[in-house]
Amino acid sequence: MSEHEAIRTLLPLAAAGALGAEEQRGLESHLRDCNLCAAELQTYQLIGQALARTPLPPLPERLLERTRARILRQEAARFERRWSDMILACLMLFGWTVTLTVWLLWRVMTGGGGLLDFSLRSMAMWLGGTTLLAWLTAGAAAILLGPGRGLVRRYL
Amino acid sequence: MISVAAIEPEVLLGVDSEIERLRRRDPDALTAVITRHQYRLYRYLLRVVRDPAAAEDLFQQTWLKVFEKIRQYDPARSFETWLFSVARHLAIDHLRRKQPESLDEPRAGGTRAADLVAADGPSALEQLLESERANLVLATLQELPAIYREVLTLRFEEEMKLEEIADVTETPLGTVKSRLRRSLLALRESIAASPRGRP
Repeated sequence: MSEHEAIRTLLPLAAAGALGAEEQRGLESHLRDCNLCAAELQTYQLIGQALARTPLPPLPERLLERTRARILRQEAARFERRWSDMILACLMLFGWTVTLTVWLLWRVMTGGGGLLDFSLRSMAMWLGGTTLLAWLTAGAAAILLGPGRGLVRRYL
Repeated sequence: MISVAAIEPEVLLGVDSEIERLRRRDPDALTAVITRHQYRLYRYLLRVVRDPAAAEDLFQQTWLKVFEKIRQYDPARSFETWLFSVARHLAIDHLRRKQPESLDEPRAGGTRAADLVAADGPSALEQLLESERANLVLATLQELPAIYREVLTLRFEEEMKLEEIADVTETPLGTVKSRLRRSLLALRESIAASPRGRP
């Protein structure tokens, strides 16, 4: 590739201000003697200037407000999901705590022997009963707390 | 066009505090940040996807993603380049779904540099008035592949440095320079070939 052809490949980058210092020096040296490259560089520079001067397109009406509203709606939905997950976890913990406490009290009041003295059959019955009680407790509490979620939603 | 160099340090500190408040999910900071970047971001998306409705939707999706992932933003990185890279990913997904176009590869019919050696000389363009020139350039820009529209918009309209463009497009600096060169060659050829570009 001749020097002239090599310089021609640099002209678009020169117009974009993307040449390194050494390349720029080589270009300037070549342009002193080459009107063709100088004219071509000017063409690219005119294109670049025209691009830089294109007016900003008008924004759609109320774009900022609609974008903000969409984001806040998403945040509210995300908050509600996390709130629901947290409530469910708390209810489950509450349910298990209640059933364990009830079981312990029952054992104590009925004189059912040591607290850790149980058979496999009674263990299965205990697990089944406490699971059912835990879900019933959680479900009832979720229903009772349902209106509270609406209050949270309105606040947001 | 406002350049970073022209912004006072106090303003930069204000920008930093806005970002910090945005990380704490302050809605007022959200409004301020969107206001600061809305024109440029919308223009970038419009140039890439060429559809105002799609550009608007992508604009909103970009800010949704930014708000969602703001805690993952590295303050050592320019917020603007991070913002534009988020927008770019969404634009890529849009183009792949809606159009057989990509921001990763030029079209199969893309112009090769060898085809441009015999392109019209500068005399055709020099004869145009400046306003007509800008309109012509803009109209021709819309006809180029997305990958060329993007790099030309980022360099000349958004006035990003090459390193910033490399950051936004997640490509090496050499690739950015190559794309910039090919895009200007393609734009020049398209202008010369258009009826309005001829004397």
